[in-house]
Amino acid sequence: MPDVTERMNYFDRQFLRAEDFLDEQAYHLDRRRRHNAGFHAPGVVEGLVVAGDPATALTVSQGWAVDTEGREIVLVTPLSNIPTGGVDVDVWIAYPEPEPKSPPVTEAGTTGSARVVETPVVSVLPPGTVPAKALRLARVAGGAIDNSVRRLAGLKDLAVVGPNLADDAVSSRALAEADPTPGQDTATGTGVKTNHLKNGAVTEAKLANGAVAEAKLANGAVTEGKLANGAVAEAKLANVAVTEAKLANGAVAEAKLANGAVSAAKLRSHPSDSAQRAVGREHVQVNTVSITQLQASLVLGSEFSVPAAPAAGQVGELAITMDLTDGPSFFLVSVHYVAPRPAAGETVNRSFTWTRRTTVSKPTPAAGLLHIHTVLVQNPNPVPISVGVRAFRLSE
Amino acid sequence: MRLFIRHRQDGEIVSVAKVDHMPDGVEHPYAGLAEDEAVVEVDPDADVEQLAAHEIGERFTLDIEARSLRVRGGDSPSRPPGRSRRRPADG
Repeated sequence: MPDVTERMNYFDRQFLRAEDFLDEQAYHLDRRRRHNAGFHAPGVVEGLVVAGDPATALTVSQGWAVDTEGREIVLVTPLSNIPTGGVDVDVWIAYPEPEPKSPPVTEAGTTGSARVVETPVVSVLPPGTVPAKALRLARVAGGAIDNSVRRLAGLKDLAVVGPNLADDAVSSRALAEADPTPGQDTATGTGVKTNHLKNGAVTEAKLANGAVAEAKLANGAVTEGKLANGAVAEAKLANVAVTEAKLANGAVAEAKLANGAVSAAKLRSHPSDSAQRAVGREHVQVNTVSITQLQASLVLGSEFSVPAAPAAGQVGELAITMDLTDGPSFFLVSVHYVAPRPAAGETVNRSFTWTRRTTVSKPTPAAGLLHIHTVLVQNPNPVPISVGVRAFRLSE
Repeated sequence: MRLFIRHRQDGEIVSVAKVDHMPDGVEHPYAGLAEDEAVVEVDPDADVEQLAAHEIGERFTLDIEARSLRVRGGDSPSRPPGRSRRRPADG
């Protein structure tokens, strides 16, 4: 770019020569090209679209561009019949150098060219060849024309920095959506990367419901202090999500167990050591265990009449067979009064006694010992009475 | 319910047993029978079932031949013939 430091200064009756007019042009060309090159990136401004048959000849539509020195490259008439040679090529356009002149003319005894011709130069070159100061318009490869390889004129790289952007200048529309390129390199790709976010930038209100999936949480990421009371509902827990190691001692209180939640299979047992059993004697309330809850078999359930005492001071007796066993046995026996019941308003005191007795028998030489368990009821009353007898045999 | 009558040879009832459950391997629940005693099982009717055991002994005697209960002081059996069993006295 020429070093132009002066511009014309006119005054009345000044005698102007051709050099003066050339200096006038040179000054304005210089300042405009400085503007173009200084404020803008070189490239196509409009038009200059490459078309045609890639195998034979191409066309370039009218349009204009600005080169690296700020010179306008103006194509006012479309170019056609640009041969490709049937091979892959790049299509370039450049400002003509040296600037061609119009044919010389002779006036007033002097000869010279009256115009500078700015018709641009279009060339096709093998891919990889980069001519100086030229702009690439398209690449012809594989039988296709790709105009996207061109660079468009505009702002220079890094021309717009933070202080030059007005508040709210960048709208959503102006942000490129993230490309599928993995990684968080802010120097490549598009979209918002991790380092574009300040610490603490994402608050709860900015997270949609269900936005944070399990895979997004690091192991140990959620500590107890981050959970609100009642935050974790049953429906949010996967099966076996909470293992024993994750529960603090005493973490599961009675109120947290549903009715019927603890089955028999979940209670610890031990065949001999009561200290290793989940349910010890101290866990059983008084009157909780009834006879029917024991492993007991009803062996006798009957009502008997017991003869009256034959005389005062004597007793009527009745022997009852309660059970037959061949070895050790435990019994729970109840003998209770049934009748006769006192009439209304009558007060009657009656008593009876009963005892248990076991007789051992060996019916045959080959047989084992047979234990005959009996109950003897004694009635001291002068009238016969009815008693109920219930006997349970307990299993070890 | 099963009804067992322990009686003497003259038909006098010694004891009555209304049995809902008794040990396996025994024919009746009585032990220690005297020499002149026996036990017979009769099928009780609904009226007899309503009586206490001692009331049955007070109101009936046993017709040994007919093996049925007979109303004390009457002459008609109250029950169809039952089964009569003897067993030696035991413990």
